[in-house]
Amino acid sequence: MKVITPEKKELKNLVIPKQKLSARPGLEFLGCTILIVIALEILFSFAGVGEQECLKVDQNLGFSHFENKLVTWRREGFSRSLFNSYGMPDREYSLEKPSGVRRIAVTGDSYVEALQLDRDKNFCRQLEKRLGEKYQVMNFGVQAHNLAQSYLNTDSLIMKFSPDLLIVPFRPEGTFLLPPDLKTGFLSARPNIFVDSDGELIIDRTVQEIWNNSREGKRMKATEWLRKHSRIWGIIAGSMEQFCKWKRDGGLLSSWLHPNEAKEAGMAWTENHSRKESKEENTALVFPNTSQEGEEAIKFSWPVAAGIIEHMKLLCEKNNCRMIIVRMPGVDGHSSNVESELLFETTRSLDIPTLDLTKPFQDHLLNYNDKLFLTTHFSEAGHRLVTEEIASFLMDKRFLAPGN
Amino acid sequence: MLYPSISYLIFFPIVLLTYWLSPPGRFRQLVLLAASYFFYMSWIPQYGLLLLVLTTVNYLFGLGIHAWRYKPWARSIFFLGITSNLFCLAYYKYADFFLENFCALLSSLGMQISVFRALESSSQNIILPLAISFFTFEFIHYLYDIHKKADTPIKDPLEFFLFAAFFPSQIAGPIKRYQDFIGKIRQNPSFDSERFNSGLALIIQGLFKKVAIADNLAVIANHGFTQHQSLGGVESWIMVMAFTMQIYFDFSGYTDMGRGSSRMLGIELPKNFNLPYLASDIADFWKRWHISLSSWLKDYLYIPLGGNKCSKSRKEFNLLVTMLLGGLWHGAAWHFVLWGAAHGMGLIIFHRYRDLVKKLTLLQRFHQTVLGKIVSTSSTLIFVAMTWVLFRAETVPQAFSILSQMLFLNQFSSLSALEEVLVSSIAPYSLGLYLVYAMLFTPKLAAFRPVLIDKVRDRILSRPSVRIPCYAGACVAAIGLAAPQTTPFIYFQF
Repeated sequence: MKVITPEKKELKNLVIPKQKLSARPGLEFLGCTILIVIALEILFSFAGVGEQECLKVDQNLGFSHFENKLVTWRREGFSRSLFNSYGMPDREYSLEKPSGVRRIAVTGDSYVEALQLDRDKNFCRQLEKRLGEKYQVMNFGVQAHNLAQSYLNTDSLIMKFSPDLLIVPFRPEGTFLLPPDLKTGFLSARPNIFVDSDGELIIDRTVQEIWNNSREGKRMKATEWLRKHSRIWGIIAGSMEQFCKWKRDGGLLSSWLHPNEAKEAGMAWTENHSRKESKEENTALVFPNTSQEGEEAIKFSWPVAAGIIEHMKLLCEKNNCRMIIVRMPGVDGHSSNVESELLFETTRSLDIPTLDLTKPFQDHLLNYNDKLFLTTHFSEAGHRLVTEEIASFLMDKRFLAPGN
Repeated sequence: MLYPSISYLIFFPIVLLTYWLSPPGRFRQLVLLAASYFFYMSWIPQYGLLLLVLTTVNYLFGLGIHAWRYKPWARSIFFLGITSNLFCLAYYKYADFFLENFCALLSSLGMQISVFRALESSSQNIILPLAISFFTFEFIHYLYDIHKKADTPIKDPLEFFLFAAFFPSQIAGPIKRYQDFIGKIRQNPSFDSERFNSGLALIIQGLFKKVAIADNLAVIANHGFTQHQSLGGVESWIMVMAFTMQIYFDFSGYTDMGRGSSRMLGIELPKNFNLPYLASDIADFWKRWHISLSSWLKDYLYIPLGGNKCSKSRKEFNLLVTMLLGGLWHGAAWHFVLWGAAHGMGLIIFHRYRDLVKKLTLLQRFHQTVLGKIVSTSSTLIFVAMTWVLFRAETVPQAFSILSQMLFLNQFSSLSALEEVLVSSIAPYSLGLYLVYAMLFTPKLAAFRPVLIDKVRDRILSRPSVRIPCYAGACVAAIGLAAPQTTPFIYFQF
C-alpha cells in the first residue's frame, strides 16, 4: 500500500477553495418581498381593507384623527370616506366663514363621527340638508373622545371656524369616561381635566405622558407614517391589537383562568347552535338603567363634568357662539337617571338649552319596528331621528334664521 | 381552541417544536396526547374529563369484545358499548330536542306530565360538548370493526387515547378509521421537509378559505337569512348561493387546517372533500362531500341495514333511513331531519333515473355530451343549494318561506335588502384571488393550464427565498381580507 503524505511546505501552498457566499438568495428574498408588498397594497386598496387606522397620537388631545386620510370602516356598518385637512370626518371647510352662512359645529365622540354609516347618512349631513345652503353643519366627532377632549378640541380647533352654534352631545355614562385609564391602552391615554376649589380647570397630562413614553406609545408614534399610509401595516396593527387583548385575557390559559366565563360561552354557544328552534325570546321591551354603584360613581365625578360644561360655555361666549347640549340616548333606550338629572340641573343653572333624546328614542323603540341602533351606534334610522329632534329643537329655541 | 386564532398560532408551533425535538416513538405520542387534551380543555376544562371517561370506557369495551369474541355474551357487550356511546350522544345532544317534542306531543293529546316538563327544563342547562358527534362515531366504528370484522383492538392505551383525542381531527374530523391512523403513528414518521412544507401550505390555504372567503360570504348569508322576509327572488338565490359557497369553504378550510397540521406532524389524515360542487349527480356529490362521514354512514348504517343487496324498495328504505339519521346527526332540529330526508329522496329519485337512463339510449347519449354533463352538474348544484336552505334555516317555516321565494321569484329584480352587504363585501376580492390560486395550484385543474406554468411555478417555489415571502404574503392576504367579524365554524355544532 502506498501512502501519500504531503510535506508541510506543500501544505502551506495548498488552498482549499472557499465556498462563495452568494447574494442571490438574499436578493431573491428582497425582490420577492417587495413585489408581494406592492401587490398586496394594490389589492387591499381596491378591496378597501387595512384602512381603519384613523387615530394618531396628539399632544393636546391625547389622540385625534389623521388628516387627509381615506378611511374604510367595516365595524358595525360600512363606510368609505376621506377625512379633511383638519382631520374632520367631513368635507373640506375654509377657516373663514363664507358670508351669509351660519355655522353649526358638532363636537363629540363616535356617535357624532358615525363611521359606521355612509357620510351622507349621519345626522350632521342630514341636518345640513334639512336647513339648506345657508347653513354648514360641521362634524368634529372623534371616536372615544370624552367631554374633556371635546372641550380642548373646541378651544384649539373648533373656534377657529367661528361657529355660530356649538352642539355638545352628552352620552349616557359619559361621566365614566372622564378619568383616564391606562389599562385600556391608547384610547384612554388622554388628558385628565378637573376643577380646583376656585373653579379653575386643571389639565393633568400625567397618564397621557406615561402612555406616550411606554413601549406601546413609542411604537405608535414611531409607526405613524406606516399607520397612515400602509394598508398592510393597518392589518398588522389590527392583529397586534388583538394579540394584546388575547394576552390581557389570559392567553393560552384563559379558559383555566376564567372557567365561569368559558362555561357561559359554552352555554351561549349551545343555545345558539343546537337549540335554535326551541326557545322563544321574551319580546317585552325593557329599558335598562345604570346600576346603583354606577350611579354613585356618577355623583362622585359629576363636579368635573359640570366644571367642563361651564368652561365650554365661557369659551363659546368668548367667541360669540351659542351652545346647546344634547343628552344622547343609550343603546336600546338605556338611560342613567341620576346622570340625566345632574346634567339638566347643571345646564339649567348655566342657562344652556338642553335637548333630551332619551324619551323620543324610547317612544320610537316602543312604537316602531325599525332599528335605531346597529350594535352600539345609531343606525341610519337613528340618525334620522336625531336630525328630526335637533331640527325641531333649534326651531323651537329660535336658533335658526327666519324662513328655516 | 380554534385553528384561525391567536391561541392556535402560539400553541401549534410549541407542539411542533416539542414533537420533533422529542425522541421518536412513545415520547412523541405522549407529547401529542398532552397537546390534544390541552387543545380540547381550552374550551371548557371540565369536559376533558368527559373525553377521558368515554375513551377509557371504549378502550375497555374494545378489549372486552375482542377477549370474549367466542363467548355467548360477546354480542351483548358489543351492544352495551354501542348503546353507551349512543346514550351519551343522545343525552348531550338530543335530550332537549326529544323531550321538547315529546312534551309537545303529550300536550297536543291533552296530557301534562310534570316529570317530563321538569326534565325538559333541566336539559336546557346541558352544555353540548365540543365535537361529541365526531368522537362518538369514531368509537362506534372502533367497536363495530372489532366485533363484526374481528379486527384487533388497540392494546396500547396511549395509542388508543391518542386516536380518540388527536387534536388536528378532534373538532370536526375527518372521522378517522383506527386501523389507518394507528398504522401511521406506529410508523414513527421522521421529519420530511417536503411534507412539512406542503402541510404549511395546506394550513395557509385553509386559513384563507375560512377567514377570507367563508366568513365574508357568511356576512351576506347571515344578513339574508335574518332579513329573509324582505328578500326578492334573485336576492334569495344570491343568499343561498353565498351560503352554499360559505359552508364549503368553511368546512373544507377547517379540514385543510387540520390536515395540514397533522401533515406537519408527519401523520396524513384522510381527505374529506373532492370538489363536491363539480359532482355530476347527487350520488357523486356524497362521494365528494364530507367523505369521511358519508363513508361512515355507508359502512356502519347503510350496509348493516342491508345496503343494496336486497329488494329495490328495501334499498330505497335503507337510503332514506341513512340520510334521515345523517341529517339528525348534524343537529337536534327538524330542519336537519328534513335536510337529510331531501337528500334521501334525491338519491332515490336519482337511482330510479339512472335505471331509466340505462334503458334509453337517447338519454345515455345526451349525458355523454358536454351539454349533458353541464346539465347534470348544474342541476346537482341547484338541488344541493336548495337543500342547504333546509340546513341553514333556523326553523322549518323559515326554510319553506325562503324556498318559495326562490321558486316563485317574488319581486324578481329587487336587490334592496342585500344591497348594503353586497356593496361592502370583500368576498369578490378574496374569491377572485382564490380562483387565481386554484388555477395555478390545484392538481385537478392541471388540464386547464399550460404545462409551462407548472414547471415555472415549481421551479420558483422550490427556493426558500421565494417560498417564505409567498407564504407570509398569503397569510397577510388572508388576515387582511378576513371578514370584520369571525363567524364560528359551522361544523362545530355537530
